[in-house]
Amino acid sequence: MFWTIGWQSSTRNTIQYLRNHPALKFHQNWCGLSMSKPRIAVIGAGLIGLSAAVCISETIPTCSVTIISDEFTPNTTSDVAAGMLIPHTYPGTPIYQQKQWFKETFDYLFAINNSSEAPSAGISLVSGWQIFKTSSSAELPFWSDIVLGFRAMTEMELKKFPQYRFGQAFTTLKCDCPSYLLWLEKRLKGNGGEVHAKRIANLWDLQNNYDIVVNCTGIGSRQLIGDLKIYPVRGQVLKVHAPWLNHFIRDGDGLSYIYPGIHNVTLGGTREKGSWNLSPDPNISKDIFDKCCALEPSLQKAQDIKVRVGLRPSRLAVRLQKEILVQGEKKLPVVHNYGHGSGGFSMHWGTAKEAARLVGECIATLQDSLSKAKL
Amino acid sequence: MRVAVIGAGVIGLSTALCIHDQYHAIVPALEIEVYADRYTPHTTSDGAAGLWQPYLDDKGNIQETLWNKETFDYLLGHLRSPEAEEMGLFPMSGYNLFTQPVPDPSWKNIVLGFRKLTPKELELFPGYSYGWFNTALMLEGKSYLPWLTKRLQQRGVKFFQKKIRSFGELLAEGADIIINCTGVRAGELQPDPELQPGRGQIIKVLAPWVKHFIITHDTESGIYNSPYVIPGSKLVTLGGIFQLGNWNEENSPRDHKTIWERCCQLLPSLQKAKAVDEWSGLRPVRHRVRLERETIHHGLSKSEVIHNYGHGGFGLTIHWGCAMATARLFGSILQEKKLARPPQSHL
Repeated sequence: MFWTIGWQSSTRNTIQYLRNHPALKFHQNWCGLSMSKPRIAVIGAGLIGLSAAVCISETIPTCSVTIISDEFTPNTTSDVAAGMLIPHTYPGTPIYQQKQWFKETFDYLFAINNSSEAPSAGISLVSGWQIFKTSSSAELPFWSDIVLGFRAMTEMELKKFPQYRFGQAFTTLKCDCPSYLLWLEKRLKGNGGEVHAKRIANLWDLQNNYDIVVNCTGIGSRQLIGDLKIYPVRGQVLKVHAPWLNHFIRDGDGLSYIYPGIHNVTLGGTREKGSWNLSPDPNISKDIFDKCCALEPSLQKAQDIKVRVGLRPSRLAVRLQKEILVQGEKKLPVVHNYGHGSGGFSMHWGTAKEAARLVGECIATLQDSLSKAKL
Repeated sequence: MRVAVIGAGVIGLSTALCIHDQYHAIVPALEIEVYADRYTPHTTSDGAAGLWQPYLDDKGNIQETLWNKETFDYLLGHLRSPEAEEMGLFPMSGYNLFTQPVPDPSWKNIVLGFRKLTPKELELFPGYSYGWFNTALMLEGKSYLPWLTKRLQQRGVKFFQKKIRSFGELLAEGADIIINCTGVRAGELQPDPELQPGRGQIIKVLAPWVKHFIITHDTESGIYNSPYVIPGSKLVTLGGIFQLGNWNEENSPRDHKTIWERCCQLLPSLQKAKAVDEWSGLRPVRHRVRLERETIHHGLSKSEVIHNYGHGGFGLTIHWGCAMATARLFGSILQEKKLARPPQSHL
């Protein structure tokens, strides 16, 4: 317990009085008189959990932040992803919101890219092409003015892709896992945050030790809180060694892509809605490899081919909202930050900032109720 | 017909290959021999980063611009072939940076996707207010030269490790035509006051997060005397040294410091890069490439020499156009001697 130091019987009696006061039953889970050090538990140590935790620890330095998760890098869903900043559109989230989250994420990583931290954070700037077999499917995406140098490909450039009729060229950023997650973890610890390995089966288990819970459990939310709106979209990818590649190539259908990173190249992929299967399928691996070699013949010389499978935590809209859980007289503020589907990397810092803001609101509400109780 | 090629850098080897492929079927007993004191990986071509990019200003030299284009198109055609990786050939995009607006270069329509930099992109490079972005090609000498060598060996071309001290030496041994691809040391065979070394020094670092070339330009200090960062297939080349008249092939600690500091200032992430190798080389600088025939008298007989040297800091960039031009001169020599059917016309 955090507040065992310096307790005197008078203080203990006061706390006991406050705890039992009808108006203050809300605060039965809280020990500090003035919420001077709110205790935040962030569940989930993937990209969303770690970035939310870092953001909270930086914007609300007075609170303590603890990450609790059963999986860590390199075994999270985030580790399977290539980490490219190319957003996917959430049908249920307003476009202006997605644009704002993407811009915040892009600007944040842009600054890291331009610093000496870039290699340790796993951030790189990469240029490339998104190509379409049919012209009609090429619309101007909402993020075209956020990435760098977005333009239509020239005829000469398209010659490199004989089966494609139209394309877009641009420069964007890429996060390499596990480097980026390890870097976030280091930042969190540098800010005084802690990391605990533990599986949480019930959010109420956290009530005794934490004031606010931030739920970043991704696909795990389905079981943990019973959200049936979230479903997996299985993705199988290959991670290969091909250091001569420095451009990304993405088929506009989103199924074939080549994303060169710092230490390997991610080849993809699949989008299997509703599949929970985490076992690699060798036929799919062959199909991915063949399709990517058709896009980039030099991949035939790629070495050290590894298969990974991840379940995109898909939802019509990202769930980013506060909820007060109630159990009898007990209350537990929860900030949900999950359901990023295919767009986790593209949106992560924007949603982390929003989650931190919501945590701030929860703290203010708790403090507000507390000061009312003093009157 | 014995052809002696002097020099085994990119110019010598590509010219030998070009001549062999165009004439071996129509010239009876065509024998090509390569003579050089240095072979890969010890040639000037091996040290160069390998980026296809001509100088900014072609000084009205349309011929060289055409040879550059011919080389680019030739390499572009090989991009999707299974040979590309072995050749050391791959596409590379990147930035040319300036402190003030400049006219577009002669090669803007040769490279892919040439455009000006946006204001947001310029934020990547404080201190630079104008620039270009384009997709070009990399041709790494350390891979390309062995690839050329292998092809030449398969075609029966012979190699001799020997420093040739005079054209007469080869003529005395029975060479019919000499192709002079001796680069910066061509002056040792025949004085050429227009040829000078343009000394360069580079540091090779491990920085796999760098995926673009970045070439800065300072009109006052001149070409390649301003920092540049060029990623390769495994290592990143840092450079920015161009010293006219300096024959020293030893690495200079002062130049090392200049390169390192200026490149880290340009790209702060390089501070974490590990230096793996360092090299100094002499660019064969000349106001224009010497690509021409010359009749050499040896005793009572005479022979033809085709000069193909003086490619400065753009040898890899221009090599194939020059090889083809040299092959055409070779063809005209053969026609004069009536030693072959007229060669097929090649672009």
